[in-house]
Amino acid sequence: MKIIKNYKRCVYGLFLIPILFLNFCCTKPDIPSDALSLGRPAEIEPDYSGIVIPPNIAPLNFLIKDLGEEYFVQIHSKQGDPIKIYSSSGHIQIPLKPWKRLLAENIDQQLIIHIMIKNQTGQWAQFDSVINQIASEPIDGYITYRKIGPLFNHWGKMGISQRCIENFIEEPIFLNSLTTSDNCINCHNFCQNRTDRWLLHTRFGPGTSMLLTMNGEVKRVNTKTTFNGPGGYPAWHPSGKLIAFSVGKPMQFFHTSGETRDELDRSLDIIVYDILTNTVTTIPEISSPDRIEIWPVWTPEGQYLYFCSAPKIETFFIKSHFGEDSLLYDKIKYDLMRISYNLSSRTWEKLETVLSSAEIGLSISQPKISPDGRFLVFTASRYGSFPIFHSDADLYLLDLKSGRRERLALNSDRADAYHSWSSNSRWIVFSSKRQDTQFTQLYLSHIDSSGCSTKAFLLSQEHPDFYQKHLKIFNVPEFTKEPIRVSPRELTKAVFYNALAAKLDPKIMVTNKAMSAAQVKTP
Amino acid sequence: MTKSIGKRELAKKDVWIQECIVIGACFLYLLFKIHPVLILESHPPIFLIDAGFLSESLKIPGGLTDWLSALIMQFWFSDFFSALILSLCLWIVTFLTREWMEILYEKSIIHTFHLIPAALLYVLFSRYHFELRIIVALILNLAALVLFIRWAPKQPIFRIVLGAAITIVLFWATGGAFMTFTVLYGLNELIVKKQILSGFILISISFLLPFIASTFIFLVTLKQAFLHNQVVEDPKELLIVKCSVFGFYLLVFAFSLLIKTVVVQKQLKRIIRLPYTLKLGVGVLLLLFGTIFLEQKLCNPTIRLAHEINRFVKESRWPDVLKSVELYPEIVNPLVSYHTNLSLQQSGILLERMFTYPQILGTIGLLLDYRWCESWPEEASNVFWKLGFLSESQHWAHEAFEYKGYTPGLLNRLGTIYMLKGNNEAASRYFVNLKNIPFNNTIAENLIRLNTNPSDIRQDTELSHVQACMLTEDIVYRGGPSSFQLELLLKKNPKNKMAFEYLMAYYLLDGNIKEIYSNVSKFNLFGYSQLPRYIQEALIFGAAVNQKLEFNQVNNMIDPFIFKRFMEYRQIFLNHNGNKSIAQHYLQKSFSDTYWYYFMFLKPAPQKSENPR
Repeated sequence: MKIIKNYKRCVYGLFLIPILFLNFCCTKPDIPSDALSLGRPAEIEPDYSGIVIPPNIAPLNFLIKDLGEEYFVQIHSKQGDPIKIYSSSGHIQIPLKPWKRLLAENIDQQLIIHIMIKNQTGQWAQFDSVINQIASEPIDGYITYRKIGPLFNHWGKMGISQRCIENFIEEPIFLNSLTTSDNCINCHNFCQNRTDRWLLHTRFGPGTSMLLTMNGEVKRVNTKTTFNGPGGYPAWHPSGKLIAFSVGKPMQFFHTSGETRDELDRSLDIIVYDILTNTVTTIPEISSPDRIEIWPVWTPEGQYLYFCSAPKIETFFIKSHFGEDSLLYDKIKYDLMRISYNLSSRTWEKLETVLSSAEIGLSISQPKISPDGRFLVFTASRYGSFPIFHSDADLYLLDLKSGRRERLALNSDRADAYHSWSSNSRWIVFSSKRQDTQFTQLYLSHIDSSGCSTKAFLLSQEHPDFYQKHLKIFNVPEFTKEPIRVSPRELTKAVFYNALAAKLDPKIMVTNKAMSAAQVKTP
Repeated sequence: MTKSIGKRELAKKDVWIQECIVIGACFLYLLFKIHPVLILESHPPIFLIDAGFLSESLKIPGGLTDWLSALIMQFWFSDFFSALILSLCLWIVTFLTREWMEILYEKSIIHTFHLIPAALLYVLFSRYHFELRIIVALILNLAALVLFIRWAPKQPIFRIVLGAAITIVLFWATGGAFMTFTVLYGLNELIVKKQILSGFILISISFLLPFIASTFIFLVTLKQAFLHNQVVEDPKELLIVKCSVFGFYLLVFAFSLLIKTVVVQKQLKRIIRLPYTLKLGVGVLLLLFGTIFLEQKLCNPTIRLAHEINRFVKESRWPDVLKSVELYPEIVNPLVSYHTNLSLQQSGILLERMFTYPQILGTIGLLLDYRWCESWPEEASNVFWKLGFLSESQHWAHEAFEYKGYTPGLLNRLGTIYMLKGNNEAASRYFVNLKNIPFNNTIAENLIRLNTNPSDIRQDTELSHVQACMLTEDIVYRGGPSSFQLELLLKKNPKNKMAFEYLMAYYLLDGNIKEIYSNVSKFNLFGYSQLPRYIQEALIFGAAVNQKLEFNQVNNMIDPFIFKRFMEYRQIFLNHNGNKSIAQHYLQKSFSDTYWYYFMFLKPAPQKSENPR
């Protein structure tokens, strides 16, 4: 009997110990209501203060860099229960469900974050509150990007991933380890932020070609013809029937100080691929032998093709007094052009200069038009069309209605470049090296109906210290409204399909066999 | 009965002694001849003390084994430790093989043959590219095999279920190496125990599981699912030896069945009659000599030399580099030349002794070219670092990072480059990762301290020297390494001795004597009391072949001994009426270490600088 009693005591004790332990761990410290005010904001990383956030975004987890023994964070808004978080490390991970509830209940309201810190003497002190605004417009739920190292020429593992902005789930879309590591994967692009029509390119390895996905079916298309090499930077026509590409070769060179890498373009042209007829076509206005054409983008109604254009690179080579070629690389500036297009008759009309580099004093690249057709945001930098390598690269907004042009407030003093519009034209995601000039991260910003941008904020991650040690860059961010429904395995299989070879429009007469010197003449 | 048990115990002791002798001999041979620490030059292990790193490893079949072996290799400090770890692993393989064979051969005492897999693995390791994870995977599967055979449930249905569960776990943990367990256990069930169903199921699983896993579960290729961590994973080299490892187990299994036949038993009885000690002794000798013979036959001295030199360079053991190169003068390899010239420069004797070593690759042997930098990017980065050409050091360190990943050396290099360039935030990321690598905490902490207090950099000799040499003016360049980059470095810091000596060496190798003459006056800036030997030889040669130099311009700079020697060289050449091919035969004997011989007979044709794209 005694033994049974003792045994029962032991069992109860065993259950009690973890309960007591958990209780001990979960005991909330007493936070005094009259904590000393420090009169300054907390040093938080990433900086999530004074921003406008979408109502459907994942928690903005952050790190408190001020040194203390304990931390307490309270997040509240007008309605709903506040979220309280205690931490001994300064790592603030906000629980997902309460966060989502709070945001959903307080659209268009302020979101206030109180941060308190306990010092070594046990005294609590309070920082100035962080005040953010919850926007009324949601953001597209997904961003697709490529994750690579800060590459020069060679790459190891790389992949395209899709991140759900509403939580922290990141899914691989395609990995080069599934074919061979020789493959470079890039230029993923979606028709009108949808995933029923999209494409990506694989290069330098098995299956070098475009993988075109239409309504769940993946086709492998080789857009190389006697006129052009494989398609490069893509732009979907809003009809989903055509894709414009820039084609040509980049040229890498190096700097002895600052950002080491740099890139220029050699002999770039623009072609248009007709999906239905499997035909590549172009016209001299967008494939001039005397100019480089790059970064095509269609207007939302498909009436215009915008692109960037500069004199051909040979213009900028001079002979030095040693007889060697010297490249005036910093004189290469791109203008913003547009040409009108009639989809039904498949005809082109007038070519116009929208904004010249001389007018702005900078080189224009990567133009993208908001889905409502109102604004065009482009990247401008001192020269060239690869602005992410230039610390002076900034995002500019052009009001297509009024012609007003301005440098967006979301810029930093470091490279801010490639961007994507959300489908409601209220948010952009863009690449920026503002954190450390080396690693490209993704930033979000709200743009209102008058074209004013708000302070940009870093795409949040589950672990607050993620960006302190992450050694990859996020490349070519593209918003989509829904997830990609084709699996990585289906895409991998498609890499080994026979490629559908695109035909060259018979109207195009290639006058010179050498690709780089090919000239387009239409009868 | 007691007598036979006692005899058995003695026999087992003898087997232990046999194992100790063989494994011990392997250990010593590894330690003094193979130098297993050189495996780090071939494939440095990537390991981070980080939950994210572990969770990434668990996402692929065999990732856990990779993680475990990377952890073990963090203790690969030196030849002694690495030989010890390797020998321990090989002994475990031996032990498990013996245990398994004892189960198969029931009452027999196993000796000699169970050492064959270890011997084969040892041969594979001597090539340096073989990976520890393959042995770890083999150990885990053999252990599972032995334990499961001993302790499997008696009821067939439980045995099938448990066998299948273990198979799945082993596949996830060890990758394609799980087939060692499933095939051997499956055959055991099928053929020995006559359990057709369980044997068939297990063998089927070994073929179906990788297919199912790669199609539905893991994002890996079918090839990776089948082959990862298998001994034959990389079929490019030594395929027969690799196949023999797995083949051994199949053969042992087949023999265990054959041994039950009367014919084989009669033959064996003759061997069994031989004295036991003789059998063991012969076994030891056959194994040791056979292994050493195989290793000698299959070893690649060029690879060993290159790895050795790499190691010495990393440890700044310049005399050892030169000694190794002198042992193998017939090996001419860009990397070997590259490191030879670096060692000569670091020893202060580049311009005195460079042509006593093979320089048939010309400037490529000094600065590599773009193509060779792509093959050995980390090595390229190291030389540019020493020169102070930070942007090129950064370039090649990044290229190396794509190949090799999070190695301590590359994290250190990249972080330090960014720190010196003033990009402290980027530097911090590399140092934080470096801190997560075992045994690198102190180095990382020091770098983090320097990164936080950049003014302390001047207290570090190496960093402050590189900082003084690094280019701060923005100049663009393309193509591979060239004299242009060395000229830029000297323009920035005229006291950059390494850049100067490399530039002079470049001109020598390129045959640009005119430029050498233009720089003659700068030698005294670097503390030279007289011109180095090869500069003198170049000048006198330039005057003789009318490279816009006159004898009286260079006369007073030339040592009389060198002048006399040149006259002898010239005379031999003239004696053969200027016929180069005949004269070469005579000149080679006494003048092969001269600049004149190099210029006339060995200098390669000028190469066009490659464009990167």
